[in-house]
Amino acid sequence: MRRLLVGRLLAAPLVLLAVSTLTFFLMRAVPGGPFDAEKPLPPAIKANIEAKYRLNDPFWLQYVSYVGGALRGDLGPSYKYVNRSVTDIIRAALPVSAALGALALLVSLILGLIFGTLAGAFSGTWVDRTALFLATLGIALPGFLLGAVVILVFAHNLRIFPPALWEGARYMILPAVTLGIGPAAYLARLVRSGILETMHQDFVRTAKAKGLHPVRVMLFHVLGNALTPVLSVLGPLTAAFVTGSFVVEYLFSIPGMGKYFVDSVANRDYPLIMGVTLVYGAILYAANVVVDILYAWADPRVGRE
Amino acid sequence: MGESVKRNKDAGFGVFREHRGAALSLLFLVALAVGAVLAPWISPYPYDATDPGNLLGGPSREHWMGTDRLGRDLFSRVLFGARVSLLVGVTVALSALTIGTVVGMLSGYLRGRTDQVLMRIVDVLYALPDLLVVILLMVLLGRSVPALIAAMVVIGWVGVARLTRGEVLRVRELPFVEAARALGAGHAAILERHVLPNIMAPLLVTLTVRIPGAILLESTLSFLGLGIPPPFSSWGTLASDGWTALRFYPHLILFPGAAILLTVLSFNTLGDFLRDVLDPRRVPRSVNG
Amino acid sequence: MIRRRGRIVVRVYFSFMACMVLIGCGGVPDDRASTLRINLGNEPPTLDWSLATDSTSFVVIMNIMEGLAEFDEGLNPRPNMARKWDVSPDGKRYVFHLRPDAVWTDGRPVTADDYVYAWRRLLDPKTGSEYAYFLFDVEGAEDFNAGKNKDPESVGIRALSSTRLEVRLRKPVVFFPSLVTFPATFPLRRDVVEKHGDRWTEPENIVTNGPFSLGRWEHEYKIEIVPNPRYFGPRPKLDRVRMFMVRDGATSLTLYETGDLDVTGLMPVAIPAYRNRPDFANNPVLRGNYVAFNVTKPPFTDPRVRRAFGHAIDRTQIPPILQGGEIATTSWIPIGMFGHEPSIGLRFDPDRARALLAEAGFPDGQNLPPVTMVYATDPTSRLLAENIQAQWKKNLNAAVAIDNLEWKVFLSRLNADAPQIYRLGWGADYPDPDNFMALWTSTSGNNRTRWKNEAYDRLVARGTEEADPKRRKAIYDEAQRVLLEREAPIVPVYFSASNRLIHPRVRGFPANPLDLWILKPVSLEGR
Repeated sequence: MRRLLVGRLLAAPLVLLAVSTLTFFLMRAVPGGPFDAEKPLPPAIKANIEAKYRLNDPFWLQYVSYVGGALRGDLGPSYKYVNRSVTDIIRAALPVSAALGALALLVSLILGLIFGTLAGAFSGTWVDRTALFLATLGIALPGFLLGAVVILVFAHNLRIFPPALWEGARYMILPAVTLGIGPAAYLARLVRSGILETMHQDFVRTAKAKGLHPVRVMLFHVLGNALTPVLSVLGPLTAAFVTGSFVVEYLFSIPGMGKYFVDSVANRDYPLIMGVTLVYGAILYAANVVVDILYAWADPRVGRE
Repeated sequence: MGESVKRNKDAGFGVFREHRGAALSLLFLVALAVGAVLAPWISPYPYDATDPGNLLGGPSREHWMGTDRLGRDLFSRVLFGARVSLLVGVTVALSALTIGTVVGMLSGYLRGRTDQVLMRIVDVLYALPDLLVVILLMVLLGRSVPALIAAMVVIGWVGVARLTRGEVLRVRELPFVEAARALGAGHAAILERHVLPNIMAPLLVTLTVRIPGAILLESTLSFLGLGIPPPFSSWGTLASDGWTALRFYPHLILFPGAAILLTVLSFNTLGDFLRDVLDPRRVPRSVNG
Repeated sequence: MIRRRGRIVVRVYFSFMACMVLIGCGGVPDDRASTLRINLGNEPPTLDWSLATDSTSFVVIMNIMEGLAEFDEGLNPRPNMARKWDVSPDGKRYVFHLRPDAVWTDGRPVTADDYVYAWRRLLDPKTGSEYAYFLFDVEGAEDFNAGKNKDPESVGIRALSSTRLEVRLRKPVVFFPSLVTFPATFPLRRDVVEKHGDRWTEPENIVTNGPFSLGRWEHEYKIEIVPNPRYFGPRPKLDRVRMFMVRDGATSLTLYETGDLDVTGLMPVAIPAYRNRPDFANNPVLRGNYVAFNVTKPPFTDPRVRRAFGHAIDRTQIPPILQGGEIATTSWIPIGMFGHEPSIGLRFDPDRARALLAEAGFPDGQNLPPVTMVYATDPTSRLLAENIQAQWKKNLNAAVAIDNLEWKVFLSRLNADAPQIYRLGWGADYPDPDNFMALWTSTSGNNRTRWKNEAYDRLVARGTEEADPKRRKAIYDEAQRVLLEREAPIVPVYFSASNRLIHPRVRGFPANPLDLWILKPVSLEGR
């Protein structure tokens, strides 16, 4: 297990370097530049701006100096948000997305567990079918539509929760539910099939044969084992949640990271594109390493393999 | 809880009797596919014919689903939209599945250096934010259906490759594969005759998840202004045009939304059904249990 | 058994829901009575007025900062930070007399040196300001900005004393006082800018001179401004203005309806539902929208073809489709601006259009080469393009393909190699016809039609210098006839309008064609 950990940590800088290289050349291949505007700049002024950001340097030099800066922790200035550095922007937005993401993760885990366990425990009955149907509904609408319906019903018509903004705990509920429902549906399926599989294993049959209460069997014998497949998807799920969702943050007007994945490209804000990509890559990688280790810990066969 | 005992591969179409949901889903999808193919002949209006005198009309006898902001018939647009949405969904899912399966099989079966190299590539692509990559590619390639499909495949195959690799790692250790190897069967033959059939079930299920996934991603891209170029319509463009009208002209969003909802629901129901029927790990065990 | 399990699940489920509702009912302190809550729509890219270029930034800047002049209700410049100004008889030298009682938020007086510093910084090539060209009519400014002259002293700005500012122009510019209402020309504190560098616009560092001061700035989320106790004029009636950055129109509208916003913009689909309500406000803004031809690309090298395409658009179809209170137009200088003349331009006349097209060698649209119209991806442009495409098909039998490009790609394509037809708009920087007419001169960087016309250039140059309103109007009428009726490199289609809901408790919310939100006269009922 220690070897696994060391190996993964050593590979991290290489993966991030590859990620940044790929993004750098991909984004520079895209037509249009950061300083094309509806009212075009006189050439002299445009030249001044491009000189300020060293956009006239040869391509490779720009790349090398970017990587050099990034190694020193300097992700460069944002072109669009003139007075802010990319580090500032990420430092302000990441905690917001992380808070929302944590709550959404909680929502999806709770809902996924409840629905998945119900469906698994009563497999083949109407409970199973209803739970599966509800779980499918959660992923059957595009996120923006789901969010719009949620806002219309719970904020506009029922006035239970505020429709948007980020002013405290009660403002987090609707976006967290909107964000969490899709993955909840997915988790419910994983839990259900995990339970179905575990139910037929010997130790469960033994437990049942001993006359233990079914709920007890379910909670203490089945569920723990059925959750292993859930662990494996937690990595990417965490990364996606923590770095924010463009759609949900847009609909609910939440100052998180999600928007930068879209806006940075629209603005050709090169340093910001690089910055958000690196942060996403690093978080995803870290989350995956943690999950791998948890996995190895939970199932010693994996570590040895 | 002995329900699954009755499920059996050999039961053939009889299983549909027990799974009315799956049967209905299949029926819906087939009808939809037929409608999409025949759209040019059966739609009551051309999808781009405008009527300045009837903007934003509600459902009526002339226009079953009403008209949009340019006075175009929404039913025709939903019908034509099915062509694009299904095309995108199926093409993306199949392409991603094919590439992912090939890479995953090579990686999982050959192991060693091939595995190392392929998996590092997968790691890197995996560590890129999907949305950002799709947007960059779409802007780079220009807005068109092929560009949309290409961009979605680029990010789509990675997950399939991981899944396939895991399945292959499991299958290659099974006794009959080792037996085939001992009998001197070539790699290609083993992969084709022994490995592929044994990982087919999860792949089929993946397909039923990927197709609606692609349809939903297409609508999200439309929401970002990067969907199918006009005057063509897809369910994604219709939904992203219509969602702000939710309170004012509900017909604009109700019908495209329902089309997406029912389609995704059908594919998922079918997927659940396939999972229960095909899963090689569960079915044999439940027979003797 | 099932029943018992079901009960447990139901209990868990409902306690979870109860928790959610409990959290949901918890309130935050409510200061709504004295706080105006509006929607900026976006994060201002910068509050540095030398660098700001967009209307979002200007909303904030123009409430925390004031310049030499400000606009009155009729958008005429009137003295503000300058008590008055003198103009030399040749119109090339201005002396601004500053208010002695105007101070910055830290108590230091606003001096002529603050203007000299600000203007030199604006023009300094190292600043990289996009609006530097606003001052290019100041002597030596253009050369200094281009780096041809490194000496800042060579620019025609000088502090005669701490309260007297002299500006020398290279030619008379009748609308110069309008230019000094613009944020790019506002004064700056050298010590503040130099001490804090790029972070000088953060609330803890910034020093301003306007009726409000910057209280809080949560990036990408909200800005709060509060009355500035040192402001020379009357104290604003609001205790606080909270400006949220809600990007989505539907969300903003819902926030208005739940009482979380006092003012909201209204998206087109919602307008019919609100049009007859007392809180609905519609007013035209100085923004013209047009289709333009690249006159170097056939068939639009022939003015007759361009005029035929112009005659073939029935503009009255457009406002019902766009639904935003837009005003159909054939002329270019917008309503609400000096020089507006609705009688000029190509009327809708399909017969005349077909005749002109036949004359040019394309009877009934035959023999036309493939034609493509390109527009930037956004819902309004798309509706417009699809409608115009249908009209050209019907009225000229001309098959025009339409294509849309993502915004930045669209712009770089326009600058590199403009397509045969493209759709774009122009919003006023200052309410003078020069701002609209200079666009189409042969030296304008914004003129992507490649159309060049000496007579037009001469007319527009004369317009900047003509002080007599009657003669000036005649000059612009003639220029518009050349541009729109004889040559037609562009075909104006409509002027934009702003549509918003203003809560009845808000009094005096500004409605002006530049869409400037000057909040110092605004008050809340019951305060």
